[in-house]
Amino acid sequence: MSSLIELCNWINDSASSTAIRESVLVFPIVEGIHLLAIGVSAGTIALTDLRLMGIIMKKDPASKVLRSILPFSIGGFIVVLITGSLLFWAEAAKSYRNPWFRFKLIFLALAGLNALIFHTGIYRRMNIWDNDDTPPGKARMAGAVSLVLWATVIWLGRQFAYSS
Amino acid sequence: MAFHYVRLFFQWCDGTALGAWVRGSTWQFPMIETIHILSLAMLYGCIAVISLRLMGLLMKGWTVRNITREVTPYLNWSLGIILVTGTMLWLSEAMKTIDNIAFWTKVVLLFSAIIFHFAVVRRVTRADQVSRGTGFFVGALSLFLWLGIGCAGRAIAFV
Repeated sequence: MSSLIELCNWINDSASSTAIRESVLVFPIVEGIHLLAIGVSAGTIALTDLRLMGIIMKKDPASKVLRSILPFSIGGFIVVLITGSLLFWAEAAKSYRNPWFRFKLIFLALAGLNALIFHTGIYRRMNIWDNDDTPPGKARMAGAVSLVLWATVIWLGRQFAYSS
Repeated sequence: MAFHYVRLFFQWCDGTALGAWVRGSTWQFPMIETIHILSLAMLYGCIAVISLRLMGLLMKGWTVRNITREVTPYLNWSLGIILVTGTMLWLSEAMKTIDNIAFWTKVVLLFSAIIFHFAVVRRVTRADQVSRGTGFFVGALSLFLWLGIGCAGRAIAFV
C-alpha cells in the first residue's frame, strides 16, 4: 500500500498536477465537462437498462435499442474517464486519503463487471429473446443492477467531493 | 430599483424553514444534490436521444415522433425532480446566488430551455415529417440550451 501513497504523492507534486489544481479555469472546466458527460453517458445507460428490464421501447428489438443508444453511452463514458482521470491527477494525494473515492472505484469496477457478465452471457443469446416484450430474467437483472450501480457511483462521487 | 425587491425576495427565501432545513445539518444538502444530479443524468440521456435524433445523427431506426414518445415520460419526471430539488438547494443559499453571474445565466438558460422544449421541440417532434434543416437546427439549439444549464450550474460554485 505504501508504494501507492508514494505514487499518489509523486503525481500530486508533479508540475502538471499542480498546474491543473492551481488554475482558475482548467479545474472548473474539466469538472463541468465531467458532469455533462456523466449526464449523457449515465442517462443513456439508464435508457438501455430500462429496455433490458422490459419497461420502454418494448416494440423495438432489444438489439436495435442497444446498438442505437450504446454509442452515446460509450462516447460519453470515454469523456467521463478522461476528465475524471485529469481530476484525480490534480488531486491525487487528497483522493488517496478519501474513503469515498475508494468506494467509488469499487462500485465502478462492479458496474464494469456487471456489463461484462451481461455481454459474455445472455447478450450472446440475444437472437432468441430479441423481440420479447419482457427479456429473460438474467437480462432484466443486468439492467436493474446496472441502474443501481451507476446511481451509486454518482452518489459516491458526490460524497467524495463533499468530504475532501 | 426593481432589483431592490428581488433582493428582498431572495432574503425571504433564504429565511424560509425549508431553506434552513436544507442548510441545517450535514447530510441534507449532499443528499438532495445527489438526487438532483441523478435526475440530471436521466434528463440528459433523454435530451441527447431526442436532440441527436432530430439532428439526424443517431437513432435513425426510429422516427422522431416515436423516440420522443418513448422517452418523454422519463424526461418529464426527471425534469420535475430537478426543479423541486434545485429549488430546495437554491432556497438554502439564495443570498449567496444573488450576485452570482453564473446563477443568473443558469436561470435565463433554464427558462429558455423549458419554453423552447414545450413550445418548439414538442411541436416539431409531433409532426409526421421533419425537414432536415429544421430538425438539425431545433436539435442543436435544444442540446446547446440544456448543456448550457449544466455548465452554468457548475460555474456557480466557482464564480
